[in-house]
Formats: sequence, structure tokens, C-alpha cells
Amino acid sequence: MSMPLYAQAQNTKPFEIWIDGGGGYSRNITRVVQATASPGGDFTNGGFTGLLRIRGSKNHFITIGIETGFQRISSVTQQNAQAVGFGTTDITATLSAIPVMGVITLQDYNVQLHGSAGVYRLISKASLFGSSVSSSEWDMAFSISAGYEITVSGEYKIIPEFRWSRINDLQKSFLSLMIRLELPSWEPF
Amino acid sequence: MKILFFIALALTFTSCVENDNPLPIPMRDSLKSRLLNSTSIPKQSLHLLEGVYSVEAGNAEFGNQMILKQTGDHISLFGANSRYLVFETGDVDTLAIFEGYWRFDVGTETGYATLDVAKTFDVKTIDTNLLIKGYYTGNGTKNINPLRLRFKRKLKDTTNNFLILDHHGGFNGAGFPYSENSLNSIRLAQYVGANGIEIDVKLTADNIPVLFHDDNLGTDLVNGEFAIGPIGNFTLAQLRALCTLKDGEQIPTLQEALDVIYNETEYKAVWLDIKDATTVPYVLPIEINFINKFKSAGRDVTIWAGLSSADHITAYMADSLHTKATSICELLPSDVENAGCIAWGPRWTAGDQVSSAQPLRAEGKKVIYWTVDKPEFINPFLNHGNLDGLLTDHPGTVAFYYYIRN
Amino acid sequence: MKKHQLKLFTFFFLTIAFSLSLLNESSQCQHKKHERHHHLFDSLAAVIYPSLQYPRNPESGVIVWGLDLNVTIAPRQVVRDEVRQVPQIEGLMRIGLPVGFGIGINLAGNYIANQLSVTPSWSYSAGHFSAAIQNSTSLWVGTADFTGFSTLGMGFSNAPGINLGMHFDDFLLSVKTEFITNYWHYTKFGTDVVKRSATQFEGEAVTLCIEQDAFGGSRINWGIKFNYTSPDYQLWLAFSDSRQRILIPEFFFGIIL
Repeated sequence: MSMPLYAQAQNTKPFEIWIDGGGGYSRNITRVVQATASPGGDFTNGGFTGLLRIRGSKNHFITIGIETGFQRISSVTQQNAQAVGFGTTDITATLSAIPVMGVITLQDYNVQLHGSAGVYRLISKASLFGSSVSSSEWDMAFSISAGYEITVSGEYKIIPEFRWSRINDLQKSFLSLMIRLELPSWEPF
Repeated sequence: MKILFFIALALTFTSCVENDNPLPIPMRDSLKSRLLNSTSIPKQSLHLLEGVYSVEAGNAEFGNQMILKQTGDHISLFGANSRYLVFETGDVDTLAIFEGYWRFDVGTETGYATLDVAKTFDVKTIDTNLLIKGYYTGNGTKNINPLRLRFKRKLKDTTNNFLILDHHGGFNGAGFPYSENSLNSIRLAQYVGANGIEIDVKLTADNIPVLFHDDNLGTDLVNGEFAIGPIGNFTLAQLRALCTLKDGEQIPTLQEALDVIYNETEYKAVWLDIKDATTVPYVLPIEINFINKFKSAGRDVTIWAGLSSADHITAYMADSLHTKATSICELLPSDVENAGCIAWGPRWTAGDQVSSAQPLRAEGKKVIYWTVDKPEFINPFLNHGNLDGLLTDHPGTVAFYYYIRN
Repeated sequence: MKKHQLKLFTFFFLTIAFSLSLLNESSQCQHKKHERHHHLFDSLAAVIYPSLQYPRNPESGVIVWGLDLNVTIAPRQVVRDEVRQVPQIEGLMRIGLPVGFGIGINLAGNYIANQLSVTPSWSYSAGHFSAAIQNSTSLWVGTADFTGFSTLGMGFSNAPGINLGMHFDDFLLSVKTEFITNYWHYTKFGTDVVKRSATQFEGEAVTLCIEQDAFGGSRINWGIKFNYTSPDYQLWLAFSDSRQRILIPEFFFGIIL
């Protein structure tokens, strides 16, 4: 068995929890080879993104937690889309994701740096040929982001955040700009 | 300032992000092609050229010996280092001209290549004086390098009965120009060393067997923003509207694939790797239809329904059509017997199973090991000789090591 | 894809470097309005906890033990839609030697893929930062004897590396970069044996690790290792012939005993 090695730090700081959430715009920066099987249509390569983070630590410099939210990856409206052997159809479709990730945050003064790793639930919904289809899968994802705290009132803070994220198997990367509201920290114990 | 620096840094890191698509074939300019005004060479004449060749120039790239094989109006050359060349052929004046490209089984290197030989050759004049010469361009360059091949000897096995089945409907490593399980990959695989093909069969939401390997439509396999998740969630019409394979082709149906095999290839065996047992009843009618078509045309082509699990065997035996179908079983030799299969397809990772393989072969059943790719693993099976063929991602490599044997 | 993954690794490094520069800058500033929060050099006690991954070696004669669970996520290119999670139990031991030297011994296994690594290192610490140079020598052995397999694989590899770390309060943060070379490979399938002794550079690996207090006075280590390599030893049974290096993430979590 191991021996006690070093003196334990005199750590009297309370355990704190930070909760923040917000939204913004996310854009896919990976080249889209084709949105559907045939060219054309009104394709949007990004959309609303929202994020909720819960972090905790006895140390404000580095905190760990989880984050979830919603991200609209893309959408399309296409008239007279080709389907070889089946003629043409109108298509409306969306691709969205729900992240479930662990996050580690480095913070000093007003700057926050976040690194996240976890999974995304990808959800595709499409209407074509007079019926709807929904399909989903799990995918691994990573993200890195930077934010700047602006105190608005007491300990309420507004944080503009710039985020890069990567969904691994989907082979897509995103840039997001978000505004988050961070609530005053909470000491549960 | 540091924040600005950080953001600028992030932006630089987000450029140049692309999906990997299949490599294009280094196409010749059709207006400048050496075959532009050529006439076709009889297949029998091309067949005479089959043999082992010494590489007198170009051996740094292709090795010291290559195997020349003819398939239809194409000839192909296979080397020890997984490099191969594929040529279209034609007669121009006094020369038989071959024009095509070279590739590398496990890499993305490729280039243009052309060869010619005096067309005076016939069965009597093919000896070590026969010289085929031309050039190839380096990978990504237009630099011309000489390529010279001298006939060394005839192939020992000229029956074409040893089966080399290309995996995933023509998946061929990093260098393959078409999507796996596509009609174009099926067409091409016969020129890169395969005389049989294994295709993967999944079922759409409207119960149509299609060629696809994975459960999920993935960015690795298809282009189409909204085609994610299990392929079985989508009808064929929805798939055709929402995505294509990586090379732009449609996801083919099993019917379409077998039509291409029937009309455009010289394959001797087709292994239908039925991914889910529930798909078996939808595959058998199509399989039986083509078994009959090949038989009516007098062609010796075997089609196997692949039975890879106990559930597959149950579904196969429960279908009254199984008595008219032919199948290959991946499980134990006893399962091969019980399900009435005509072939056994064991994993190569259990090694050469001589005590199981020999009794089955004695009954006339084929034994095909899967999926063997590296020369060091291919050669022991060829040395033991207890097999009728190999399933591989690298048919050219298998062809080289099989035909180079004396 | 490949370029992108390299960028990802580099980005992580730069993130850490950037944060360090901020922390340095902040230590020279006075911001009264943030009194509630502590800043790195204002309040930290200059102590360090027992660790398994942090660059600073234990004091001479001291042994630290650990038990981890790691899960490698096999890339789709290698295993397609087969099982992609490869879990392993890992036992870790770290022995402190004089003048900053130390030896780490790791034994990871799941029967199908097992690895013993011996890692001598020398570390240097200054304040809240620490760095180590190290060399990890590994022997892996794997066996598969279920239906369709009668297979044994063995290999020998070497991975020199640099480990950088900083600690504040109870957090120890380490970033380790290793360069992996395979020297020897043995495969037995059925009765046939294939040996390969050619030296082959397989790629690099970057490990991000955090060691911290957990509930009940225990300490944990957790993090992620980004292997950017040819298919690694955990995936030997896939017999990939790909020459391409691919991202193979490995998550780990464990306790320091």
C-alpha cells in the first residue's frame, strides 16, 4: 500500500457550483459536399445553438462539470429534388444535435476557457414523398471555447462565448457565438 | 488583445476541413488518348499474354516480378508490393497498346501508365524475347518513368478456378477510386485481381435489399446532410432523394448489383453477405432468379447466400425457397452440413483448419477463408492448400502471391 | 480529417499555454472587485499531492499506487460498425528515486489486449509547474480463442515523451506527449506464426490528465488520451492494414490508492 506522501493542503475553500445558460448562432465550417442527393434547394448551414452548463469546484481557477443543450446543424427546403428511379419530390429536412458532454473550465479574472468531451445525439427529420422520416445516432464530440465575463448586477454575469466544436464520426466542425448568463455561485455544503 | 489573438488562432484552426471522398482515376485526356483510333484486340490474343513477367525497368516501384492477367478487354499487372496496374487495350497500326493507371492497395498513390507490344505475338512467339514496354508517371507528377516487362513464364494455374473474392463489393483499401458496394466498384474489382465478389446486403424500411455494409448511414459511406442513423429507417425512395454514395452513385439495390454482375462481369462467384437474419427471406427470391439466369445462359457462376449466425440459419431453413438457393455458412462445419450449404466460410483468424476443411472439400464443398489482406497472412493459407479461395480487400495482392507460385 | 485532428491536439496545447500566460499576467494585477475568487499565485499553498501522472516524481523511496478503468474508442475506419469500445482495467505504480528520478509501472488488460509498461523519468519542478522527460517501454500480449479465433498477438514498443504540468490547490493538471515506435510484432493464428521485427513509427499520443480530490478524502485521476497513430495495440485483433494514422481517443478514470 502507498504511504502518506506529502502534507495535505490546508484547503478551506467552500465547494461552489456555477450554473449558466444561453444561446447564440452556430455555423458548420466543414465543406458540405451535398445536402441531398441532387443539387439545389434552400440550404442553411447553421442555426440556433443553446447551452446549459453546471460546473463545480472548490477552486475557481479550474472547475469541472457537464453541459447539454441543443444545436441546429442544418436545414433544407428543396423543390423537385431528384430521386433516381422514383421521380422528384419536395424535401424539407433538419439536422439537429443534443450534446451531453463533460466540461473542464480554466478561469482567471474575466476570462473563461472551456474544453469539453462527450457525446452528441444527432437527430435528422425529413419530409418527402408525402411522409416523414426521423433517424438518429450517437456520436462522439469535442469542443473548446473562450468567454469573457461581464458583471451586470451583483454576481450575475453576462458571458459572450466563442466556441469551436467537432462531431467526430459526422466529420463536422462548428464555430459558435453565444451569450450566456451565469448565475451567482451556490455553495451546497 | 489576447482574446483577439485567441479568436484569430481559433479561426486559423478551423479552415481546410473536408470530407474524404474516393480518389479519382487519373484519367487520360480522351482527345489525346493513345487508344483514340484503336481497334479492339481479340480477347484470346490478350489471354495469350498472361504470365509471370520480369520487371526490367520500373522495378523500384513495382517489384522485380509481376503477374499479367487478362479480364475481358482489359489486362492487369499485379506486384509483390501491393501495387497494380489496370489497362484498357487496343490495336493501333503494328502495336497492341495498353493505357491505364497504377495504384497502391494500401495507399493513395496513383499515376498514369501506358505500355505497348508488337502485335505479332502469338502462341508460338511468346517466350522470354517478348518485351512489353512503356512508361508511367509518378504519384502526383507528370514525370515519366520507363516501365519494361519481359515475359518469364506461363502461369501454372490457367483454370481461373481459384476464387479471389473482393470484399465489400469492391472495397480495396485507401487507393480504390469508387465507393464500396457500388455498381462501379463491382465493375472495376474484376480488373484488380478478383474473379468473385462479396457484397453486403441490408434492408430498407420498405423491405428492399440494398448494398450497404454498416448499420448506420455514415459520413464515411454517404454524402447527404440528413442521411444519418440506421439505413433501415429509410425507404429506398427516401435514400435516393437524401443521399448518394461517396463517389456520387446511388445506393444500389441487390437486383441492380446482380444485373451488373450478370451483364458486365466475368465473376465466377458471388457471396451475398446478408447482414441481418431478417433480410434472408427478401434475398432468396432474387438470388434464385439469378441462379436460374446464369444457368440458362450456360455460365458457371455460383451465388451464395451468406449465413453468418444461428439466426441466419434458422431464417434460411424456415424459408421454403432455401431448397432452390445455394449458401455459404460462416459457422461450424456441422452447421454447413445441417443447413445444406455448398460452401464454408471460416474466419482466417482461426488459422488453416485442415481437419475441418478436408472432409468438406472431399464432399465437393468450397472452403473460402475471410478476410485475409496481408501477404504474411495470405501465404500460409496458400502454402497449406486446404482452400478453394480467399476473401480479401486486396485481390491484386492475393492474385500475385497465388499466381507467382511455381 | 487527419490535419484537423492534429490541429485539435495543438489547439489543446495552445489553450493551456494561453491560460498560463493569462495566469501569469493576472498575478501581477490587482482586481478588487473579484475578491471572492482566488487567483493562482495569491493563495495557493506550495504543496503537492501524491500523483500518478503529474510530472513531478514522488520523493525518493515513496510508492504511489493507482487503479484505473480506461476505454479506448476504436475508430470506425478500423472496426466499422462492430463493437467500438475497448475497456481495460489498469493498475499503476510509481516509485520515487533520488534526485528527481522515478519509475512508473503500468499493467493494463482485458485478456484480449494486455500491456505492461515500464516508464523511467526525470522531473524538475519550479513553483507550481513541473516538467518531466520520460521513456515508456511496453510489451503487449493479446489472445483470442473464441469462435472463429485461435489467435495470439505480441508486440514490443517504445515511447519517449515529455510531460508538462501545473498544480493549483488540489488540482494537478498534466499534458503529456509521447512518440510511439513499434519494434517487434508476433502473431500466431491457428498453427501458423508470423514475426515482424521491422521498426515502425506508429505516431504520437497526447494525454490530458487531471488529478484532484474526490469525496471522502480520496483522490482521483481522469482524462483523455488522444492517440494519433496507426491502429494501436488495443486494436490488434482488427488486423488493420491501414498505413494511415487516425485519431484513437482513450478515456480514463481511476483512484489513487
